[in-house]
Amino acid sequence: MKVLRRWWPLLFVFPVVAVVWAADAQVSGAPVGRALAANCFQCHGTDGRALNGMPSIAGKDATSLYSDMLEYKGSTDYRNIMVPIAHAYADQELWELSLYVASLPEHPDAAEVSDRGEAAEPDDAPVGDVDAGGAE
Amino acid sequence: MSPYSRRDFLKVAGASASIMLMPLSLRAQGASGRVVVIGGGFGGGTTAKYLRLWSPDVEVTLVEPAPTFHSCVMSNLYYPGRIELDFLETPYDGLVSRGVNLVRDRAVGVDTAAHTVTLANGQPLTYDKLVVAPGIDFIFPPGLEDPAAQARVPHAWKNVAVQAPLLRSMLRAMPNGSTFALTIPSPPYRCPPGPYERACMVASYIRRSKPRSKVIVLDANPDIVAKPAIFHHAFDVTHRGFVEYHPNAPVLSVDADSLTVTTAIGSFQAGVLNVIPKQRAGQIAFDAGLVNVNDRWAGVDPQTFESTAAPDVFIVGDANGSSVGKSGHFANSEGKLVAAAIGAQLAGEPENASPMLGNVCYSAITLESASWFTNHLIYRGGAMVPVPASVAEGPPSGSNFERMFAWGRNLWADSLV
Repeated sequence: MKVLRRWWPLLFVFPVVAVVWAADAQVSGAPVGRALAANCFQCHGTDGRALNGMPSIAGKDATSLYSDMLEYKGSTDYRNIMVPIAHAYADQELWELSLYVASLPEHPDAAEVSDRGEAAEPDDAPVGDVDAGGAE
Repeated sequence: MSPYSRRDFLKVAGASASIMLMPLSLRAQGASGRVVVIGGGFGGGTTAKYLRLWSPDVEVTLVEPAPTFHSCVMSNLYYPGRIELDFLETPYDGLVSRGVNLVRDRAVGVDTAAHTVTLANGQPLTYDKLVVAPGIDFIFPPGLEDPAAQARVPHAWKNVAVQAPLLRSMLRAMPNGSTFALTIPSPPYRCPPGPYERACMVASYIRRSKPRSKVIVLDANPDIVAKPAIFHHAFDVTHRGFVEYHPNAPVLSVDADSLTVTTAIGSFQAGVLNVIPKQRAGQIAFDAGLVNVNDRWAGVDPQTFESTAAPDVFIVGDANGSSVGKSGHFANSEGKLVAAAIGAQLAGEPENASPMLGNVCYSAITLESASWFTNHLIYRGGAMVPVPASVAEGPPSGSNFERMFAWGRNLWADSLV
């Protein structure tokens, strides 16, 4: 068909635009999951990149973040602080915040490092290496 | 071979995509306007930072007289010498590098009709949206109204850079065998577990350095108001013999010369007297006409934390009269909620219909162990209500003690860097 022959490239363009538009349209402004995910950042660092002693979460696979949170939510072991925290959210909210966190860059670019003064530490950094004054 | 070249494909695709994406790019321009934030603590700092992160076209001015932020969170570890003051410090450089205009001055007046803030130096600042985050001020009991009396009986519940060294020097100079008396007000007050943690930290010092001394806790409340099981165990077992807990003991008056506090259950003379007075919103909230909850706090709409007394004004942190607990972690969470609400309003977009607030709080029990408490709130039916399954506390442990340091550092960085 002549029309199809001329406009076939649109078949490739529309799905991409639709995805981008859908992502944008979900909230008209604030990305979905951002407000929820921001409550992770006090401990797991701004945009999910933590200082040492806490695991960074930025850029992790969304499915794996989501399944971790569901596992916490399915647990009754309230000695793990992540268990009550996971219970605060509906499953859909956990998926939305996982998607948002997964979309964040794992490593800040060089400019961001100097802007923020401190780079993210690796996940397995030792916990509680206090550089303050010791006991008397 | 296809009649279309790669160039033709890109031409059609590019034209289509640019048309489809045009509204997106227009929308991405988003919020713009001028926001003034009064107070550079957990609430004000986080609001300023996240406004710059999420609404980069918004001009943000932070008014804060202190040259450096000193955290109340974790400051009780200073009394037994587990940390020094510099551990509690965060400079404001991080906010400045994010594009926040830092004005090192005190806000002395707000004209909510004219949308202006007056600084101590007389200079006015105009705003489209104002964030008031001054923290707390005190309602001193009889006998403590005078600054000279206050200097002999420190609160060490704000202004950590000055108050904490004053209180610690008194503790260190206290003779072995003398008592450290600590009074706790009725809620709402800043950091509900904080006074009990302080008792534990002073006890940790005393048992090592002044073993004939003890801590007398005079609580205005009928029982411990935060983590009761954990702190009862701490007082009765962990620090047995070094902490004496008295409920139902609201302060009636103080004699700063003899370091005697008179309460509803009697008078106590101390070697060091640490009175944590009843609290109210920071003075600027009163001066701006924003205080409308029990004559003490600035009322807010809990969906946006917008003032119920004046338009285009938001109250973040301990000064607001919401049902949200007064903690640094919650103030950070409120700051993000407000940054999003202001961004939405300035962009003409709808506000978040069901915002949530999160809280985590670690308390040191000994110099090797800490406990935690966590709770989340969600906006439902016009109020911020608890999510019951999210409320929990963790027993004291060494790993929690280590986590506490990571929590503090990340919380400070997320709020102020």
